[in-house]
This record gives sequence, C-alpha cells and structure tokens, in this order.
Amino acid sequence: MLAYLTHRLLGVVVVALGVLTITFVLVSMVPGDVAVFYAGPHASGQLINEVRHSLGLDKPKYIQYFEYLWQTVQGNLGQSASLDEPVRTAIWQRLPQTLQLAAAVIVLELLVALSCGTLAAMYEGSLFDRVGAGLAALGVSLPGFWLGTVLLFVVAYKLSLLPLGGYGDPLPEYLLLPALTAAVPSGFWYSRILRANLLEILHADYIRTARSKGLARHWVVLRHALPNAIIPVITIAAMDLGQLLGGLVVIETVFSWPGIGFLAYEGVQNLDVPLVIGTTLFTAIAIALLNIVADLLRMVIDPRVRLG
Amino acid sequence: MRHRELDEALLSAADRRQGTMARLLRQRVALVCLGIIGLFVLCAILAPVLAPHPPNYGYTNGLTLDGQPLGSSGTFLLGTDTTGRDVLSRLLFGARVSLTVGVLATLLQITLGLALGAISGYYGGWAEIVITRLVDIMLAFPVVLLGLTAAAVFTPSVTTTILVIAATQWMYMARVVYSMVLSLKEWQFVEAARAIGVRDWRIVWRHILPHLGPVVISYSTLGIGVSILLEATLSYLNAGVPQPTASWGAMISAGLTYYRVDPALVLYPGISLTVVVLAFTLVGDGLTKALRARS
Repeated sequence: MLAYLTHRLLGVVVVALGVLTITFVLVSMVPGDVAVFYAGPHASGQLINEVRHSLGLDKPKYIQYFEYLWQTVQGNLGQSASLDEPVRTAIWQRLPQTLQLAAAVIVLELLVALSCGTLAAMYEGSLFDRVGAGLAALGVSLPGFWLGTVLLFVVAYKLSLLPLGGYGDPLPEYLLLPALTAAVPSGFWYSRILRANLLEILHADYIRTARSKGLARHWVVLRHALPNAIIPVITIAAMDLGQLLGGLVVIETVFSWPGIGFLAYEGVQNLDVPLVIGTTLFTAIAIALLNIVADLLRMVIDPRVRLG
Repeated sequence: MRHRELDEALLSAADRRQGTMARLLRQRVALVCLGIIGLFVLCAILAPVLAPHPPNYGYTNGLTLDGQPLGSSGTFLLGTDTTGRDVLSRLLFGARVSLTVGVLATLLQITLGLALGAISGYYGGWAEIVITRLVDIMLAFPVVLLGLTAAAVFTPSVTTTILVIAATQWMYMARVVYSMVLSLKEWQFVEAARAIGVRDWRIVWRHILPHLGPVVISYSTLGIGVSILLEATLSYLNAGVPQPTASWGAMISAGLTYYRVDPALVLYPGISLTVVVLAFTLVGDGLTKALRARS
C-alpha cells in the first residue's frame, strides 16, 4: 500500500513537472515584450529595463525556468494582469464555488444513472430501454454550452422559474440549472454502463438462488444485483473527475457561475496570460491528484481490487 | 488488452472485409446517420454554390430600422444575424469550418497516436517510458483550459484550433495502439518476419499496422464528432475560430446577446451541431459493432 502510494505520488511529481514545463514553454512563446506590457505603453526605456530586471526577464531562459519551477512549488502563480491580485488568491476565492457545482453534478449524475440504469435493465428491450439508449448517444453528442443556453432561455427567461445564471441566495435555485446541464447527459451515459452490468449480473448463480427462494424480482435487483453492478459505474465516474472539472469551464461560463472555469474564461477575454496559465496549471495538477483518489476509492468500495 | 477482441480481429480479417459494410448498412439508425453525414459533407463542400449570400457581408437591409436582426423572409431564408449577415449562408460555411477542423484534427491525432503508440509498444525501453509519461502529462490537461491558454498565448485561428484539439486528443489513440502492438508483437508472424531479417519499421508498417485498421476506422469516426464538438466549444468561448469566419459555436455565442429578440440565432447552429455530432457518434458506434460482430 505504502509502496503503491509512493509510486503514484512520484508519478504525480513527474506529471506536474511536465505540466509546468509545457506551461513555461507556452508562456515564453507569448508574443511581444512582457516587460513593456507590465510597464505600460508610455514607459521610458529605463523604466522598461527596471521592470524587465524585477521580473527576472533579463536572465538566461534556463535560469528563468528553474526560478519559475521554484516559485510554483512555493505556490506562487504570479500576478494577475487584470485583477490586481495574485493569481493564487483569485483561484482560492473561486475554488469553493467550483467545488459546490462539482459536488452537485456528481450527486445528480449518479441519481440519473441509478434510476434510469436500473429501470432499463429491469425492463430490457422496452420502449423506456430503447429511449434510454438514444438519450445516452444524444448525451455525448449534445454541446453542453448549447444545452445550457436553451435551458436558461426556456426555464429561466420564458418561464421565469429560476434565476438567469449567476450565484447567490438561495443557492439551490442558482445551482440547479448548471448542475442539471452538466449532470444529465453524462448521467444517461453512466446509466447504460449500469444497465449492461446489471444484465450480466442478473444471470449469475447467486441471483438465481435468490429468485428460487421466492424473493420478489424487484428485491433481487435492488438488494442483490445493484450493489455489485454500481461499483464499476462509481469507478468510471471517479476516473472521469478530471474531465468533469474541464467540462465545468464551459458550464460555468454559460451560467456566469463564479468558479475557476469562469475565471479562466475572463482571463482570456482580458488577455490575462498569467491568470489563464495559473488556472490551467492548478487544474491539471488537481486532476493528477484526483486520479490517485479515484484509485483509492476503487479499492475501498471494491475489495477485489488490489493496487500495485 | 482484450485478447478475445484481438483474436476476433485477426481471425476474421478476410471475411470482415466483405462483411463490415453490409453489417453497417443493416443497422437502420447507422444508415440514416450515414445519410446525414453525407448531406453535411455535401453542404460543406458546396457551400459557395449553395449559399444564397456571401457569409461575411453585413447587409444594410438585413437589419430592422432600430438595428435588430430580421426573421426569415424570401431574401434571407433563415433571417439575418446581429450584424445583418445571412444566417443560412453562415450555417453552410460553418459546416465547412466544422468539417475541416473535424477531419484535419482527427487525422493529426490518429497519426500522432499511431506513431507514438506503435513506437512505445514495439520498442519498449526508454521510448516506452518517455511516451507513457507524456501521455499521462497530456491527459492531466483539461481540453478546454488548454484551448483557452493557447488562445491567450497565440492568435486564435483555424490552425491553432486544429493543433489544440489534436494535442489534447491523441493520447487516447496512443494508449489503444500501444496495448495492441504490445500483444501483436508477440505473435508468431512477427517473430517469423524478424527471423528472416525484416527491418523493424517494415515489420511495424507491413505486419502490425494493418491489424489496427478496424480500431482506427471506428476511432476516427468517433474522433471527427468529438473534434467538431470541441471546435464549437472553443469558438463559443472566443478561443477557437476567430470572427468573422462563420463557425457554429461562434454563431451561438454571438446570437446570445439577442436571445430575447431572436432565439432562432442560437437554435439553428445548435441543432445543426447536435445532429451532425450525433450522426458521427452513432455511425462510430455502429462501425464498432459491425467490426466486432463475427457470428
């Protein structure tokens, strides 16, 4: 176990180093003179040189690289050009909102998967089952930003049932639409995985035993088959956490949800390179760490899994 | 790797060639979707002929007197957008952008995935370590965020969009190819080829890569759909294809400002996008099924 954790954490270090290197290369490809940008358009040559010196831009590239690594390891992601505060502060301020949204999405996703998947398996081949298959394909093809926009238009604007995006009190009213937009399509997808697992398990011997001792069909499904069938779904959902975080960038932008995804979007609109890069870096490393958590979760819920 | 699948792929090589298309065409849904894709490709190629107006020209009679977009009429079949441009023409030219980005980004990611996957699977050693690590690193980047970063650093263009999509998608192909090559190279025909002195690159090219055909085909179909979706998403976030080029994603984001007056501006490109991506997804699924089925 300890050996496994050390191995995986070393893997994260390698990934983080790679991510940092790539972002450093991207930053150094920024066209134009960064010092001129920071000093302002009317600065004198001497001021520009001073700014260049204070930013360390007059040093050789490889020294800049190691300084960049060192700064990032200390948690310093640089100064935002548009927000007048360090990138780190901006991210920490927006992180709770992203976590709230992500948590709501995961809960809704699993609810959709559980209900639709179980029903589709119990009534295999029925109309409900076939519609479910279609919805799963639609779910992966539907552009999230468009679905969100349509939901906003119909539910929030036409019917005035919920607020038109943003963040406020009472939270559930603001949370519902963005969470549904992100959760329902992937929920349908997971429901198909659950259905396939259930159908396979329903042929197992222990299910026949349960049936033959006279247990009602729905009890057999709910009590005996479901707990085993749900494990792979949770595993896959856990492995998809990174994609979920990435997908939230779009959802947050559509609903003006003040999370880190929206922060990155605003960064692009304001040509704030440090802010965009900082957010990307932060999310990439978070995803690498989340993958370990997903592995551990797999081991906790499924005792057959041996990590190593 | 799933050995059963591999066996199937190898054993059925001969009868698959005749059967795959027939099996695909027997699936009604896939057939309809194939038709939709054909229509989409035609629209994209013939856009300059089919479009009733130039896509980027803002007509002065294309706006109401107080400067709002027009609904559909005889001159502008699907109405005009916020700057008086013809929506139908922009939809047709948008199909062009979608198809170009979808196909080129997929070609690029498949090539990268095949090359890196085959090298790491066949040679092992350092190449394997470096490439698997690179896959891990790139998988940590969320697509959209890397797209936003690229947009902040470079000037957004069709080329940048293609590169970003390929850079964030090749790892999936590379992983599949890697594991398939890993088991393929243990087969006797590879050993035989090596025994008679065939060079490495030739073994990979002539003896291993042909077995990856089915995987590559179904993967490419799905990949085009995903790439089209990503292009639209990036363009929606102003980080993809720049204005004034017609792109479905950018059309949706531009139409948003007028959603009260003219919700159709958001509706048309959104529906086109969903239908096309869905068609690629379902044909990809159908192909996977047709290639795997060997009853």
